[in-house]
Amino acid sequence: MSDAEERLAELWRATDAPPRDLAFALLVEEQIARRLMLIDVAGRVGVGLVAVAALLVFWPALLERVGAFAGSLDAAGPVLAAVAVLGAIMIRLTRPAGESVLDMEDGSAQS
Amino acid sequence: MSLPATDGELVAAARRGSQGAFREIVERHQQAVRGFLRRTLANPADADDLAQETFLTAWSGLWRFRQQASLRSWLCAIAWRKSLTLQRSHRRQRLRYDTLETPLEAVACPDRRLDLAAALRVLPNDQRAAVALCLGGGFSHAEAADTLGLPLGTIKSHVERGRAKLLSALGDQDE
Repeated sequence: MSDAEERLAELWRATDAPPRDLAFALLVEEQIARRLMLIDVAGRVGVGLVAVAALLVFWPALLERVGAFAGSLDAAGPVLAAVAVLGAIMIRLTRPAGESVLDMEDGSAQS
Repeated sequence: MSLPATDGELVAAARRGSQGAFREIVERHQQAVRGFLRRTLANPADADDLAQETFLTAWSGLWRFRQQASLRSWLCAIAWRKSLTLQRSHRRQRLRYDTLETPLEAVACPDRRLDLAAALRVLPNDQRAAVALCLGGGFSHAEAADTLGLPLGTIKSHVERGRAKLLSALGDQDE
């Protein structure tokens, strides 16, 4: 082997990286973790934007339906209240005298 | 848990999301990738940064790896494409700011790595890469052809001519 060849071989060895390098592997892992986090954040932001856009698009229709539902409740409200009051009076009247809803001695609920 | 032994098994495990498998891939092949980049780029710091980017690209594109090529060829091919992009961007920057980089040949430095860097810079890109892979990294001619996407005959001639030029350059420096 000539002097130049020996020198060349020596120079190749001088530019070699170490066979195992945990620090380098950890740096790569850190970059991957950062990339994963960015993907996660981008995904969440994307889903949020799609949800907001959908809400904006469907807002008039949604508002109309909510209004209609609330309107129907307005009409049904007095009827439901009257039924509830009537039910309470009926229960009160059909209960035998001296019986209470809660038996205070053992603390358990009775029908 | 013991990690799978072959590159193919490691790739399969990494594709399923095993971080340990990908770490093993990095540890196993970082020497080849970093060595290749250190020999083809002038700046060792650039080389290690680019090696990290190479593995990051490999991680996100692992599904593209086909078993026909060896894993280290595939990784070095990514590294090679990145190094070409970096060289092009350096060239553009030099043109934009009209700055002249001091040629390595003109730097009187006793560090022998600079001798090699200077000698390698004399070679054209493809020739330098072929020499760095086959003579510096111990790749076979076929592996280097896979990595650089060049015909086998071209690789053989690049290595032969590049070696002769390097030996001549190193011999000249002794005089």
